[in-house]
Amino acid sequence: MTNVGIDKERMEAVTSSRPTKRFKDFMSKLWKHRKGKAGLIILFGLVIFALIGHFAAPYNPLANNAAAFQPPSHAHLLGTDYIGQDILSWFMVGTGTSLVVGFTIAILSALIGVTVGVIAGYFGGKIDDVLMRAVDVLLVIPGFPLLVILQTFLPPTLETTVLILSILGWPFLARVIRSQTLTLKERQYVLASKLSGLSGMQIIFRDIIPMLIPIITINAIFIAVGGVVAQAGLAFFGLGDLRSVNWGTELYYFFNQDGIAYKAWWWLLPPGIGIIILGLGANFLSNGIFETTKPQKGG
Amino acid sequence: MITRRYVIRRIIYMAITFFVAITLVFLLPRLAPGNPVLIILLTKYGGIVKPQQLKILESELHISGTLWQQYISFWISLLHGNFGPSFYYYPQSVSSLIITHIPWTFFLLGTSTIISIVLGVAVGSYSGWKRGYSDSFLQSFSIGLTAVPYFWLALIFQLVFAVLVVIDGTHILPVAGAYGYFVTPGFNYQFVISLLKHSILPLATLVITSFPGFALLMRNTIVTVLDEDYVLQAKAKGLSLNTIRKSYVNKNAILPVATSVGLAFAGIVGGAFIVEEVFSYPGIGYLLYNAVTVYDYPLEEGIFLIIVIVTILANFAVDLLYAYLDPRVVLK
Amino acid sequence: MMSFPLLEVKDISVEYGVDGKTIKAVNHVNLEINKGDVVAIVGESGSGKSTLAMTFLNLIEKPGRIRNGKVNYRGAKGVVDVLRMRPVDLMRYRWKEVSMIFQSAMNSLNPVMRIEGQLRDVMIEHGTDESLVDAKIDEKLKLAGLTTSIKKSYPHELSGGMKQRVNIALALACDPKLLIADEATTALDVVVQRQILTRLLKLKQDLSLSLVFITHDISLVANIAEIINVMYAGKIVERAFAKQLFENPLHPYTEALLQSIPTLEKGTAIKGIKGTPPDLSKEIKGCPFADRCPKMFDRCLAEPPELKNVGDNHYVSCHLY
Repeated sequence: MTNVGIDKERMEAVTSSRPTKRFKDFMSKLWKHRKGKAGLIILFGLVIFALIGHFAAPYNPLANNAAAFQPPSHAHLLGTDYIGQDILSWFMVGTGTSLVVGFTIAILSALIGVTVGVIAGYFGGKIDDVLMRAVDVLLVIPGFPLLVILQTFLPPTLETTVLILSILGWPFLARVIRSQTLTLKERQYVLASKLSGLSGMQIIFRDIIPMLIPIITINAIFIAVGGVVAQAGLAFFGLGDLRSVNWGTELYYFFNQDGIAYKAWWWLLPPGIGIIILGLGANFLSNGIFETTKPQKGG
Repeated sequence: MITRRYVIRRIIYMAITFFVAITLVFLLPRLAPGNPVLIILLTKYGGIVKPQQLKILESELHISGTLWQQYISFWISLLHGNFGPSFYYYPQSVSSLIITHIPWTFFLLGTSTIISIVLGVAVGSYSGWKRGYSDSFLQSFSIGLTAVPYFWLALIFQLVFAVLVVIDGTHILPVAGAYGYFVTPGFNYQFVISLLKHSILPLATLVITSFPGFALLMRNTIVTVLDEDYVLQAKAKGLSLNTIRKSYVNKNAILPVATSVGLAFAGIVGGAFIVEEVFSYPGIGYLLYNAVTVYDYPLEEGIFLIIVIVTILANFAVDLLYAYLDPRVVLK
Repeated sequence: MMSFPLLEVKDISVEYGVDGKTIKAVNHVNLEINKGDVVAIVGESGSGKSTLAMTFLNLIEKPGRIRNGKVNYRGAKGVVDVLRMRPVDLMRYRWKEVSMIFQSAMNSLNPVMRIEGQLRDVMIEHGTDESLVDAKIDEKLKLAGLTTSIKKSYPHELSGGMKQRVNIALALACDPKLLIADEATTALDVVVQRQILTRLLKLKQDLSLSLVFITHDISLVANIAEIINVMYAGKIVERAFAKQLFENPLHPYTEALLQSIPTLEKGTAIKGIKGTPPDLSKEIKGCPFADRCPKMFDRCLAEPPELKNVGDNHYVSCHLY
């Protein structure tokens, strides 16, 4: 009888099986979801493309031994740029850099956002007030000008850019996590854990964070895409490490090295299409995760 | 309902936000390596300068005395609306540069935000009411568009209208600047036409990339609202479809869109800046881009602070508007 | 004695298509409501009673659809089938002839519109003269037992009971002939419940309304309804005058319902009904109540019983009779 009161959802999610088994179940559910499957395939495809670029790009992207501004040909499938670098190779290697940038930003932002959100939501009171005011301040300051001002005075390396974007990427996630934590902590099983004498930290790691994983993942996916686009935008504005090979610098050189005058569409299309594909893949995947993990009605 | 207490509290929060921004702007360059005076001397005067000029420069840039003295004199200048001189355009002041450029940014931002909201709400509500095929088409279309980065779209427009589609040596649409060389600014027909023509591509870039977000949100809230009991009751009341749509569905569905405007605005600011860069549109985004290229720190800081003020105020305005639209909201 | 009914439901069936399954919510139901009647439709949730009431206003929406049947309404211009009206006529019919107090009174007022506005739009669109509207708004609010000052309020500023009264005022806005109250008092506390029911009955007297009460709580309508219909699994299983039904319930389901009412008398134990209602997405061969029925016998599983008159206008659908 006493078990009836304990949320079935959590019982299934947390206690029924080991993490690896749970992950397998989740993946097979996601695979059956039309959009979830599409998202997985697209993102996996991008990763494979980047890996091939890393290990077996047709040329060294920084080797400038071909003629400049050549349209696509057999030798250079996507043509060459303003100093005769192979665009396909540049794009493949750049895909890798951009993906790593997005992934790192997502992980770091999620770490900060979840920590802040769970602490604010679980402990409430003064801590909550202070943290949420900080979130409000960060949310209201326009991101791009802030990025520009920070990047201006910090060393122009890719690492700094990633760090800045991670520090600015978490506030929205923190807000979402806080409100989720507020509802979760009223659940029966959390109260049960409290009564059985578990500490706040134990409850957070045992009962709360596992329940938040889908929503964290969904938000992290969007942070990753946002991070890739923001880094590209910064590079396009002439900030950060302009020697790094990524989608943003590709667009920067296109714009600043007469790509338009030479009608070099083959140079412009790849990074934009790369970003669009990443965005669509992310959208499909997060939609799939959302629909396969939302609590079933009447369950 | 809006209480006075709320307004006062909001003003305090805005002041805090602004304080944080100003302190950041003050500290960043002072923590960064490199002496700004040396940089300005090298870039502007090739290193040759009289001692009194150096003195003036130091005091105007607030870089003499201890950090605290600098901070205080920095604040005093700011409170006088003085952002100091620009490095690059010296002796022009940052304030005067911003004042001449900011109207263009306001024009781009305001117009594109309004068009995006109107278009987003229209497309979203059509899609939400219609359901079925046109709905799923519009949804996938909007999701596809949200993935398009604005700087890339701006470049595509540049490529297409600057070099690819040129008929008999003339451009269909202008691709740079805010108005033509041969028109005189003022209230005359040619100027206005030139102005509108020059704004088409920058506006199109911003609208195309920001309206789908509003459309998707509007569509989803329409679908939720259509399921509400008060809509069913409105139908039972035998009200005309028009009344149901206007007073019962749209009036409720617009609320989440209204809350999202504040956050979306901060995003559109970034978009507008980059779009100005691409189209050489003479707003403060273009000014910022130039400041970045020539290491004009005071100008960058001034633009940043101005845009922070604008965004904070815009957010406040949106919150007040929201309280006005939704009687349930009590801002206290 | 027998007049032509105000509203006559003929052989109506409603289905819902959910997750590829078809749920038969209302299954070949017949019902008549005469002028001045107070009729109750009683049943558990999922019995189809609300769905049935919706058909009176032709309000069934996707994923639901009306499979067959008619809803004949006797208006000024003769008898018309509500389900086959032109959209314009249907708009005129709704609220002007038949109005409804909805189950979810808490959520059925538009949150961003003042009470006044929600009364005004329906009056204007049903042809009330602009100059009379203000007076009529006050009149309807008073009829519902409200002070007229609340008309400037928004729904969220009112208590549950007040909202429910606003819904009554709304339902009376266009002087309908028939008023349907769908679980109109369920969300309210007992005292307010009583007040609202009394108010409705008084209005019925004063305005010569016909009333239909939809409820899961048979005790609530015991003293107010003249005719009670008991619904189970999308069908009416018993219909009788209230007094008759309470004194001599025939259907085992009605008996069980009556036994589940808490009473003050000693010695009568409260009994719940065992089991759950049948899955309406599956074909039911015999009587839908068979597997919960204490008096079940072979025939109950083999063929479905018909609703038949067993004398004195007492109808029952059970193989025992």
